[in-house]
Amino acid sequence: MSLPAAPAPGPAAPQQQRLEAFLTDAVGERVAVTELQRISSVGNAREPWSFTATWDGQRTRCVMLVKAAAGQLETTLRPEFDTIAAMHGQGVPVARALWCDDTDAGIGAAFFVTEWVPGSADTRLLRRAEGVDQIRAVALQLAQAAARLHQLDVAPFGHLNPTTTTEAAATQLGYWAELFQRQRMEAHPALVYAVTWLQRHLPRAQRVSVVHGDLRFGNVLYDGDRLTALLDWEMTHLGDPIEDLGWVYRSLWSPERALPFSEFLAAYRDAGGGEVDPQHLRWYQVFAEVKHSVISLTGTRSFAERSTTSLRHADRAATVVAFTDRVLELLAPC
Amino acid sequence: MLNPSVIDLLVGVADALHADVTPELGPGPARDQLQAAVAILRRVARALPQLPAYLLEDIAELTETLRNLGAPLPPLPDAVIGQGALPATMVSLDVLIAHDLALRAGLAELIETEPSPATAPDPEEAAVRQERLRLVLVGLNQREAGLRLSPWGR
Repeated sequence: MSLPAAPAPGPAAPQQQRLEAFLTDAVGERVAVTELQRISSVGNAREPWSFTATWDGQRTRCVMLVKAAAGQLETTLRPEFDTIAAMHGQGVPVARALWCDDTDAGIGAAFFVTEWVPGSADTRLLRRAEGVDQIRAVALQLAQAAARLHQLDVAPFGHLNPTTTTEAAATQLGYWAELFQRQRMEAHPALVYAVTWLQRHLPRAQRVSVVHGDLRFGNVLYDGDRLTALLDWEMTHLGDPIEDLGWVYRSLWSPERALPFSEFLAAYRDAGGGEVDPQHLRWYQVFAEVKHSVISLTGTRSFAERSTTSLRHADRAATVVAFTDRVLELLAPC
Repeated sequence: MLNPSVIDLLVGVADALHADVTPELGPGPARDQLQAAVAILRRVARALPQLPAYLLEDIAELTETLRNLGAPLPPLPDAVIGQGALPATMVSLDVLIAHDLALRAGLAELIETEPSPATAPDPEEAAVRQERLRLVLVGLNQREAGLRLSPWGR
């Protein structure tokens, strides 16, 4: 990444000047960029920065997401930005989308900017004994936000690939199964077992919705016990809304101890999301383990091929055992 | 040089980096990289002594599984595991790993071609075979989890 790790004192860094030049061009008048600094994050596909943009006497606090070097996900910025832009004012908590440059021309890497939203996405809350009430409150709002998201009219999301109720599951499975074939560095028979089972039991969606694709604690911004924004839309697509429900309570980020999944689903239903068929949900729970496994395998391959030097990816393939354990548990005879 | 052993070296390097370098680095990408490196060194050092026994057990079980399910077995490596001049425990790790990977590929191929109970001529028999495969995979996972290589615990 070519941006500085922290704002240096003294003369402004060239990247800051390039950002100012880009914003000045986008706004049509002189924009000053100050307080540019990297935000601590465990995110992988985007590097978050914050800054203040000032023009015409107005100060706007902003967040800039810069496309990271190759890692565990290869996604383009534009659909993510357009989705956030189309989402604004629709009742789903998202940051206001401001500017996007999906080329390297502006600051040397693709990026987009949203308005800053107060809150934290820290998942350590999930492990804090005293955090139960707060987690419960945020998890309930997450269920409501998911229900709202899944009820949106998909017409304004024409930038996302269209799908149908009969094709939604097959399209997603096809994408991740193909990526699995491409990224694996050994056979992974347990994953082959999972993919084979998924291919033989494709569900039909009740409806086509905007799917977040990575809906979970960690991608939820909360301020106290208030959910302020859903983050990280890089895997968003049109598809089966149950896909998000198969992902949201995976053990790595589950708020189960504060809000049992059955209560989350009840809150989702009460907010208009609809009833969830357990077999339909199980398909997406198996799919979720496959998807996260493939993300891990992609990270490991990126490191093995030195397209990333992040050591967090080096041995990520070792996580597949835990993920496929869950698959084998889900597929055990009743 | 046989001593200090590879494992002692890995552990020693991890300890030294953790003790002397980590405190010198403030929060940020460099410190993240170092902490990840230390954790990997420790995981590898812990797993390394168990690897030959793990592979031999894996190879034995996979061979038996594929044979019992009527699947083709990959050719034995040149070193002839357990049958040639060298006892299996003296075959190099590279040979063991290559053979284990070949057996796992054979198992994956078998899984892909196994008939689904929903379409098989004998659905009951197909369901029994699917469950056998699932249990074999549970066993493989349990053995691999014993190496404790995952950065996120099991």
